[in-house]
Amino acid sequence: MFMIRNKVWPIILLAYREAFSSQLLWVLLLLVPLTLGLAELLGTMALTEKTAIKAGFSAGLTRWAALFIACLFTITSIARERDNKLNELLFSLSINRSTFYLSKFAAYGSIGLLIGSALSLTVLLYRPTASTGLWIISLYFELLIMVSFSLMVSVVVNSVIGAASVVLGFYLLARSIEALLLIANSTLEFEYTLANQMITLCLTGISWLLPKLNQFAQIDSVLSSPMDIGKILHNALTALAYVLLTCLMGLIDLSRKRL
Amino acid sequence: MIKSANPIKRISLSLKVSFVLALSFQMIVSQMDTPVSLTGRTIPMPPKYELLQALSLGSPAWLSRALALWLQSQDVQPGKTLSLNELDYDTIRAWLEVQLKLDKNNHYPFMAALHYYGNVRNPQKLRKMIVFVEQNFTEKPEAYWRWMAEAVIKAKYQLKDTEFAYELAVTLAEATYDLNVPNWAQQMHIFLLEEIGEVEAAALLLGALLSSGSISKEEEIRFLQDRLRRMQAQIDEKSSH
Repeated sequence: MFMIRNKVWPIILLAYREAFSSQLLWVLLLLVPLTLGLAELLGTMALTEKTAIKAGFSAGLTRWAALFIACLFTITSIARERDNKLNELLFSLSINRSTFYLSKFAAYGSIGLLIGSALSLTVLLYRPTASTGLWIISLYFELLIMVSFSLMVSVVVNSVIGAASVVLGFYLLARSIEALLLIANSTLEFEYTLANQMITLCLTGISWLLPKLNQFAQIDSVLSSPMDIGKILHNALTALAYVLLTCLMGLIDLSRKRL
Repeated sequence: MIKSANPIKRISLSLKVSFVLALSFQMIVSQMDTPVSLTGRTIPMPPKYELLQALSLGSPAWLSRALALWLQSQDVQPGKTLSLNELDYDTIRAWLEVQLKLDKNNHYPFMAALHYYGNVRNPQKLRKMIVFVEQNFTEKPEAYWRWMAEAVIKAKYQLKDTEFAYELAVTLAEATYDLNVPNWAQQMHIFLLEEIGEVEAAALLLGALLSSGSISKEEEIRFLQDRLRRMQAQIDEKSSH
């Protein structure tokens, strides 16, 4: 146990050192007042529902910014370690591949949660309610899914642009898959042609493999209808399933490679 | 760190089994939630055109088509289709207007108005869709004449309002007078006038059309002359009584 802990901590600390050296803290320190400033500006323009508008805007921006920064940090950080041959050094110390990968996930996952927490402060400032707390928990689950996916893609794809494109495509698809399924099921003719059936079948197949991210951190839960516990539990279950799946995919890729 | 890929055999059995189990778990979880349903959801009025144009980020034509698909998916959903009569046609019309405003080359709003929302069995609602076509047709008659011609047919046969169809046909003929539009579309009002019972006026218009020399095709001239002869016969018969 001590031996494992001895190998895990350096990997986690390396990720945190990378976060400091890449000025992640400065980005967050800039982004929080910027979000507040923009929300206040919108608030001055609103005739009514000022707090709701400010909270809604902060929540929307927080969600996008937290996901964007956490994913980009994971991708660029892995790429930099690969370029610096840091991983080769770690593997020369006879570190286990699964320990290495899971430590990486623990590091980037926790950094993602810290990014989410820092940026969510603006939402809490405007709506310090239990429903905002549930929204933040839902955002945490979304962040864990996206960080886990970004880590897996960064290990598999050796280019920053390639990995970022895959992650962006995945995110957009996971957020819109339910809408795409609805469109596929809506035909003008009310009769399903072979092409319609094929498209619907393909989209249904894809939907089985994707987490439905449109059901996470919904802004209306901050404003009007709080998320119920059942929904949060479903978010948690989805996050567990997807983190497990992507971690195994990353481990499989790592196992098949000669290091 | 990575030199080259090894065969899949290097992956341990426990990892493979875990992967299959995790994949199954994900598939089960993905099917546990209830699918998005649109039942009972009313369609909101569209935001202002200026806001939509700003939101299009420089691609209003794309947004126009995206909105068309979105609007279409609001009443058709898996396992349930809301009846067209349940929809608020003023809202539908507002969305169609905004789609057209975002992209004047998008013919989808006309098609949807006449052939989709126009299938409603409510004359007032159908009339709203025809009026939508009529009011927007004059903005670009050279491109939209086809939809106006279809609106005339809808008014005549589905709405069964020949006088309204005649008014539409007159608008169509006047707006396309000097445009490169097929003659049949420009002559619709003459035959509708005949159907309303204004045979004299119809014969007068047809005679003027034939003598103007604007029709060049032999078979078309023969057809119109035959129609004119029949109209004359009707007028003579009426006057002899």
